[in-house]
Amino acid sequence: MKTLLTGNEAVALGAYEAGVLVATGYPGTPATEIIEKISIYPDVYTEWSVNEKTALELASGVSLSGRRALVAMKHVGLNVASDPLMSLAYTGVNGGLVIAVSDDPGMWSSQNEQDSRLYGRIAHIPVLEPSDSEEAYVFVREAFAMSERFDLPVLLRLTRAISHTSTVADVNGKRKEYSKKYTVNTEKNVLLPPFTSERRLSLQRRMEGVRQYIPSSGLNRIENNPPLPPFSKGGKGGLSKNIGDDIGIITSGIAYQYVKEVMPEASVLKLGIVYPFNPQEIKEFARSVKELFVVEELGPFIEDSIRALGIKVRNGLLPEIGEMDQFILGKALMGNYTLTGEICKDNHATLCPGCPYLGVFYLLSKKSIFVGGDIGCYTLAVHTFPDVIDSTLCMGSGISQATGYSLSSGEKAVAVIGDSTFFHSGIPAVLNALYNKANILIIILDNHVIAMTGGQPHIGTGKGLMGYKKKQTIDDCLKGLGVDSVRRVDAYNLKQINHAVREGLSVKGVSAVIVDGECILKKKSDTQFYIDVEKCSFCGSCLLVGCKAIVRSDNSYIITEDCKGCGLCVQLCEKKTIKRQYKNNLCR
Amino acid sequence: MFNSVKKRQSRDNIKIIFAGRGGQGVLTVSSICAHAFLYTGYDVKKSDIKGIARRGGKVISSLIAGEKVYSPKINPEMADIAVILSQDIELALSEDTVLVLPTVEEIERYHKSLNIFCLGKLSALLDIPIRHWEQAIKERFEDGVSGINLTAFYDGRKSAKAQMSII
Repeated sequence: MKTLLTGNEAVALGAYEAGVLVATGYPGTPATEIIEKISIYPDVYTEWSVNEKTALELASGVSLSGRRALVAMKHVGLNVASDPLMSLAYTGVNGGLVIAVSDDPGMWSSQNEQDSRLYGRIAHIPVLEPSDSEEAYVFVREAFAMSERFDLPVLLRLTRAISHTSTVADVNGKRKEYSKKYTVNTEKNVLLPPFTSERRLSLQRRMEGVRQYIPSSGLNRIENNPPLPPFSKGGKGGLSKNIGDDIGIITSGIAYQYVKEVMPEASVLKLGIVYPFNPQEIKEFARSVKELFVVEELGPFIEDSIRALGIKVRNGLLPEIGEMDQFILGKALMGNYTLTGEICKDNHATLCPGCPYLGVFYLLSKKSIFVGGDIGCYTLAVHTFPDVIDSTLCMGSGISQATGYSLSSGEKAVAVIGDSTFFHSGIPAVLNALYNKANILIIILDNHVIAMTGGQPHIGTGKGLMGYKKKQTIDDCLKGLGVDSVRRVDAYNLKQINHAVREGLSVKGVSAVIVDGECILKKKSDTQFYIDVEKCSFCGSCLLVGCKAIVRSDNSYIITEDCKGCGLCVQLCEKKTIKRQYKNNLCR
Repeated sequence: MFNSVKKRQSRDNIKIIFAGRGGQGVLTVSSICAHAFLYTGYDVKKSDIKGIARRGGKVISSLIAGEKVYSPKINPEMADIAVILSQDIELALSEDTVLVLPTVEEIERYHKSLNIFCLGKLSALLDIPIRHWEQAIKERFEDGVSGINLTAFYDGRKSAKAQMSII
């Protein structure tokens, strides 16, 4: 049956059909929908894990027991899960284990752009890369088969343009259950010297098996191969004048689609398995063409590997950064592409009107103090209050960065971190701060949801993908860890926040303030505010809170339809000219 | 040598951009349209702006359909048709792009089904049999709502056809 699926939906469906028993992950654009989509099938156990490392470790336990497991995350999530990944290559699997990772070239919604194909090389695991949704659907099933056949975890690498594009896929929707027996095998599964020695050697043999399998896998294919004998004399003579006979392109993933747009006549070796390589396959293709190019998004991963085989590749034309498209490729191949500096397009999002984080950032923006930021919506505050956050690195980093800054400067420093990020990887940082007697104030922005990725639940909410779960409050968590000074304040009460922050800063040691306000996108409000234009002195105080619902109109300020009725601006208005109104009530 | 590189963004393929603000149902109509193309037997690719961008309020979806579609990407200036539900959206379209825009009266009249009304307008410009439109719309909505939406769709289709006959 032909249907339209996004790449993420295709991975979910393919994994379902492959008989996956467990699917785990942590939300992250552009990978989030993989787990969300697979959670609709009742015969798959799905969970949002606390972080990517635990997600992969849990899945590996499922694999060990003899069932198939899928793990999904964004590229930076794979860094968090990289520790178990490296060792899982050594132990291998029992039931198939596939890790679907989606990269974000162009950083549409990420702190960096990185190339997850490289994990194939450092972990010694196969990496499969689909070019559209149908391939994603087919490849995920093939990945499970390969995982079991070669006793290895398999990486399924997607990129934003694959994950978030709907393309036509021919699917059957039938699930085939899969299960194997578990037998104790200490020498295989306990990575302890001297067992590790045999596992290392075995890993080499298993990867060699994959290398040999590649040509028969059907995942790599040659298109428009010119009718040339494999050993033509240095590429001279006998060549057709058609440029397709002269030029060979090795490509994979979404880049394949751009090649077909720009150079439809060229011979193409399309790699579905982007790691490892079968040297014979590459050499034969290289011999069949006069000039060889590699077209790939991000860095020269395939290109370097081919060059290492002693094959001549023309290089230096493609950009190594940013998301590619057919326009960039066309220019690059003609030698006239220059990077203009606009890698991230249209990404100047700000905090929503009525966001529970507006108040605390307004107050922090008035203080000159180091603020270590973290990953989440709240980082958008810097588009509203420039300089309010001093740094943002990765999940859970802000607390330790504040600790480090404070240690060096001798001043109290602040860390801001969201609720889910706190659970994800903030907890070890809090422990480290306590253990090493840091002098910091941790401000936890608790909006009761993983907001940035579209509102997923986490342990602090007590909800999960499959109904109710255990709920753990941040307050209890902090107290349990050993933070003595913990205060919870209302995100919409400026006085309360101000007081708590001042108190928190006066504490010597580790103190914490939890700013409590439900994500405004989840909240329904029946009130809005308006400015009484007659009494307004246009002092501009209300603008200070940074709410996008308050705008200037000629010589006055107005509150637009976007107002969520949070009342933050009211607390700043000196003339008390901001009034409440009920929605659908036209009497002003 | 690369002067002979052809810029072939599959010229025969039809390229449509849908734009509007969050909550207007931009993605709903682009999805219905993509399915209508699929049922007619075309290859289709559709991409939506997602993630961080949704907080900006602007929603854009691009659709390419034809015999065979490779790249899912288009520049606004390549769009054959642009369906724009909100007047404050600016797109760098070319002069040749056919615009599907609701009038002020239509915005007031259709309000919540404005997106489907505009889809009806769009349908008058495309070579897709009516049964495939109906199938795509019915699949998208629950029974109770699909009737209202079909009415809006036909109103849009009629209004576009009436306009075209004037031209």
